[in-house]
Amino acid sequence: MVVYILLLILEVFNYIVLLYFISLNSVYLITSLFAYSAHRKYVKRLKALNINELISSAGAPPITLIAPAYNEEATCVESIKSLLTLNYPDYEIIVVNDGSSDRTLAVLTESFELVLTPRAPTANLLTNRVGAIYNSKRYSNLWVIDKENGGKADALNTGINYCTTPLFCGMDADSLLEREALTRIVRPFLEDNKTIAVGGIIRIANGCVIRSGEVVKVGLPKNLIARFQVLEYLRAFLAGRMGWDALDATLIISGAFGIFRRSIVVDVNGYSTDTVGEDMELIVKLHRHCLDNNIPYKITYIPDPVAWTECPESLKTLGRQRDRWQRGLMETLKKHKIMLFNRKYGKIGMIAYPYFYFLEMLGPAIEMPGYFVFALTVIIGSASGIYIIAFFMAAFIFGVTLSVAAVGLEELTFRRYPRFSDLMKLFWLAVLENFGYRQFLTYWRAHGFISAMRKEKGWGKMERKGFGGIVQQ
Amino acid sequence: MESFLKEYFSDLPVNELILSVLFVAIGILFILAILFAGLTVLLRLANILKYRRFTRLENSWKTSFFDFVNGEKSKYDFWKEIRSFDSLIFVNYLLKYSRGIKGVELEKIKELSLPYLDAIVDQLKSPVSEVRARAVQTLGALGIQKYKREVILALDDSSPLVEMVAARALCREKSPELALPVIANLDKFENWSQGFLVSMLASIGSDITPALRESLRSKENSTWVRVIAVETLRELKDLKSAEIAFEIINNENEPDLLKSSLRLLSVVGTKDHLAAIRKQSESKNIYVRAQAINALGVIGTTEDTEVMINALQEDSYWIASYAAVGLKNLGKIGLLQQLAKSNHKHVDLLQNVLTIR
Repeated sequence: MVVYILLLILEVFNYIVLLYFISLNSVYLITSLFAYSAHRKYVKRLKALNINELISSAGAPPITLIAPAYNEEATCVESIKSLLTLNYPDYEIIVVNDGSSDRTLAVLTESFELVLTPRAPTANLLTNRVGAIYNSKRYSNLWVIDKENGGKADALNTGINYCTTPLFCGMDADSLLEREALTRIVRPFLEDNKTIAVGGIIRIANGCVIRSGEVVKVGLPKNLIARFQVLEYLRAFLAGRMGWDALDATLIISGAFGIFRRSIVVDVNGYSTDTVGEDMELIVKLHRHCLDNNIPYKITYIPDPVAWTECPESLKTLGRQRDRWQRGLMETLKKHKIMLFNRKYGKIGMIAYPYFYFLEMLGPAIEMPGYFVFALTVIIGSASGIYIIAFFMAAFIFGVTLSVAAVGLEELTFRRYPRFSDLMKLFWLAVLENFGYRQFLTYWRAHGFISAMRKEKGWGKMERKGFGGIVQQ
Repeated sequence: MESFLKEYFSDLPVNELILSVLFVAIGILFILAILFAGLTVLLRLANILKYRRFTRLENSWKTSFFDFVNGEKSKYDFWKEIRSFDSLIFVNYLLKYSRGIKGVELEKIKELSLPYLDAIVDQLKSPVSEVRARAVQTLGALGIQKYKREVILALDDSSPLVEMVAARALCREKSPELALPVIANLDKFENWSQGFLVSMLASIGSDITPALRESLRSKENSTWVRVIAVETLRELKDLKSAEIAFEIINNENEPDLLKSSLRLLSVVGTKDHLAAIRKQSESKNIYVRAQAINALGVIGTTEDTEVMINALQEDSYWIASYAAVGLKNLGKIGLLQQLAKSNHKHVDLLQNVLTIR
């Protein structure tokens, strides 16, 4: 009897895995199809608009770039110099030194001739204590706020408190924005005054040639782990985010590059400091706030403003990053669980939230044991080997198809990888990533799932070589 | 392969249905993957060929183009070099150049493009809004005088994108005649950013102020349209509109309109308007009150010192900020320094105003 029940459980679990697999890949396929249509339309739209002319006639809304910095001694000067050369008529930079224990503040002070300058807060989001505020003698639009350590969300909230412009850009101190990134990302705010948040695309800088804080030649990284991430980001942004945006259900704007209407972010009390997924949590919170209060709004993603970021090149760092992402996702989705299948929240509550909740959040809890249960069922003979092989072949070929489709979308739109050999390498990566890399990510997502269940906190150390160290030529 | 696997695992139970579905899925997905990969490679090849063709054509036109601009070649001779099936590429080539130049050279480029623009007009009938928008942009940049009717009609297009491109094309010419249809259709652009629209209209110059004053004066217009009008008049520092703004703050009560009218008076108002502005400094609406304090800070007198000091006590950063700047404008530096050394609630702001403004 016990054996029978165990066999039944195994069989039921196998069906759950199958259902999960079909649902997840169907959503991927649907979003990819929507993304294809949206990209085609978007590229034509860009041809009909002269972006520079649009801004020159637009009374470009002033923007504050808020860049939290924690122990960024090695990279901060290069990154800020790059920010100072952006092609945008009216912007300010607030670097928030989040209690760095290295020489970040000293390096900034020396490089930009910082002087103590009074500056009044415009909002009073709760943050850790601000120590001093500095303005650069060389660049009047550069400010540095020195505060007690409180994490990225706390640092961003501090920046928002001192922001005087209607829009702000939340970013990482080590992201490189393309010269025209602000000009491009501000466009939805000009075209539709309901817009409250816009996200741009994040691309991998590893392997690119960078001069004076600008990516001058795009190429694939030599490191295999970084290469896999190039493909992964293409899939996530060109197929995933664009697809969700086409469905008008954007639930994530990357913390590395997003632009927000300051007043509404203040209304929702800024970024939450009790989660490591503060970027996603803010977007979910904004949706909830606007829908609860019947505020007309638009949150969108557009694929042409680019921020370049350095991705992890070691399995250890990558694992920690994915563990954190999974925890952030779970914390956010659990916090706003009321939105799940709640008609009041429209497409967000009925489509996007259930997808993230059941397939992204619970995914690792199904996928990881799935490998073991499959193996077990074969060993004890309750499922046929042919079934298992067929299943894995389907999963493999589905993954390859979606990745190849994402590479196709890149070719259809922005063609950032000009070498033909890069295109071939991306195809090869689409095959190769199924043998180890995907399983490794599943493991770390499952790890993150358990960490979140245990309510573990903390970001985990990120090792960065810096743009000056690895790719600058 | 399926039969081989079945034979190999023949002693194990197989769920035939699921297996069949999986194999069908594998087959379809395999074909799709190959198809996508093939299409991507073809797309890359097509893009390379397209790029090479465009480069070759542009290089072949370059010398003739500069000879034409320098007056060394006639337009008739140049036109002979353009093959009919390259005409749309040629228009795009001219459009690219037209963005970077002004004056006589621009007029020459427009002249050169004229025979090819009729083909662009046909694109206005396209069911794809982006194609229509691109056509309006091209006509607006290269042939607005000949095709102004078409561009003005595009203001009534069903697509907001086409409407926007048309409005910008009409305003780009800095001609009041072309801008008037845009002003008459302002209510269509209520989704646009206010700053965007105001800046676009203000770039045309003071010739459009009579029409804007009319828009502002007419109570039949929506508040949004009147706000755009008053904000543009402020950008243009139109003295004649001060009296309309004065009437509005005396007789109307729509907060957005009051706020913008007060902003206008802070630029073009006079002492005659102070009484009405002071009254608005007591408004219950925080934005109206802030703009009234701002206006008093710019055109007020020492009589307004008390109002400013009281405003400094407000929680709102913006009101306190306008009040502090206003006190500084009124020459009350000593008072500000004294407050900045006290335990005033806006002590950072006061120090800020004293040091950097």
